[in-house]
Amino acid sequence: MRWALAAIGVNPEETVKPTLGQYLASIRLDRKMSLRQVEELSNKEVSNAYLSQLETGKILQPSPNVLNTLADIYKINYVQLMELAGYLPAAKAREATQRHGRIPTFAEHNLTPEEEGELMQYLQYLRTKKKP
Amino acid sequence: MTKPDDSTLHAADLKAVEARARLSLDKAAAWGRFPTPVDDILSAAKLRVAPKGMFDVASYLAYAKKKASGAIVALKAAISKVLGIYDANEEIIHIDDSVGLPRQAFLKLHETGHHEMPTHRKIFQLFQDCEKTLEPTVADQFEREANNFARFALFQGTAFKEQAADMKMGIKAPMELGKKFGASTYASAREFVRSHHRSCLMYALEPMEIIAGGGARAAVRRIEVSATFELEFGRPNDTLIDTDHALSPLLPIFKKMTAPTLLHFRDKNGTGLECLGEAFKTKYNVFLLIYPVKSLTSTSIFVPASFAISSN
Repeated sequence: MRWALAAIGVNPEETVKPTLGQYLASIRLDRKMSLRQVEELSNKEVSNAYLSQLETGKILQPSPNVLNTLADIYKINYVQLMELAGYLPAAKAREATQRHGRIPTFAEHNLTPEEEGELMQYLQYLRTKKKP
Repeated sequence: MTKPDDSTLHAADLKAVEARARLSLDKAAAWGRFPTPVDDILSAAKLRVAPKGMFDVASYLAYAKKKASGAIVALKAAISKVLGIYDANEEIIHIDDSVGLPRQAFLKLHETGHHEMPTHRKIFQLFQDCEKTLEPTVADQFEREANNFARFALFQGTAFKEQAADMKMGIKAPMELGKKFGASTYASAREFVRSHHRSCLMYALEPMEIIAGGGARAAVRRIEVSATFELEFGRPNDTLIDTDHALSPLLPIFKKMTAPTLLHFRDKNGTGLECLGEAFKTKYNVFLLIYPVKSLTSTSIFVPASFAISSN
């Protein structure tokens, strides 16, 4: 349990990162909660069977809504869980045909990485411009 | 080109989105107020619309002076593709005010969805300062969640559906309800069919093109079916309505509307049904609404099989 926590947040030098499942299992054990208790606390959003499969790596891509619910219950960082689930890859890895995801837009067409980057810079400019 | 699915979610995710949208309507005391008070929903969410946002030409030109031409080409392309943006760091949204007000209402609520969903907001606040992105399937899910948030908020949960059930079936019903709720005809027609308890089918077509010989054709933008329709007939997958298509008599070539027109076709079990088809066109789309009215007698004549309702 301790190694998992250390690898995630405390010791950035640690090279062996736990998987999402291992991390969630270690946290639940640390919080001394049963699978059923988590199910109850989540208002049955996360069933005990589902959580068990998540912890053992049989489910690898849980919904962000499930991760957020677990983060609330365990009082841990949701973004960290998203990271462990592999949902926050490096921006440069995205191909132009894949959905852009750095800024939430309502867009008729997908933005290329270059277009998305320019749009972010422009947003930054608009923020500074309106400040006195 | 037919648009990709923009709204399907797993039941648990839809429940999470609708719970958030319900809270937003509660905070704004928006239930039962028509048109849906979108600006109150934004205020209650502590969200503002940028007065001179990224769609403001003067701001764009001032910025363009400072940038290299290559960057400006990319920025211009980006702005032309985008209708709305949520700036999670400033809690502000930018809306393309050149689009019609009813469509702006949906865009505002879509961006409010990104703000009100904690799963979205926490992530988007992160990206300004790091070189990470959302995994594309999750980015897609977030967009579909924001669409469902907007749909639930704009149509006030099941209020639209309940009011539609009390109206005479026909194309005028979604048009009237759209005006009442402050929704575009497109959003209203989609909601009407998706949520209707009766069997009905809607085609949203791109603007018609008149072809040699006086006929017309139009590409299919989106098809919506009610749950009952899907059970009885399946889901059509046509991409073009042209003069060879059995629904071509519905195309409103001369007028804005096509009055209810009789169509006959068979359901999955081969039972003949009498249907009515109507059409209405706006500047942006042509809408066809089709709904069965009664079973046919054995002497009825059927529309040829080119009517592409799935028969399996």
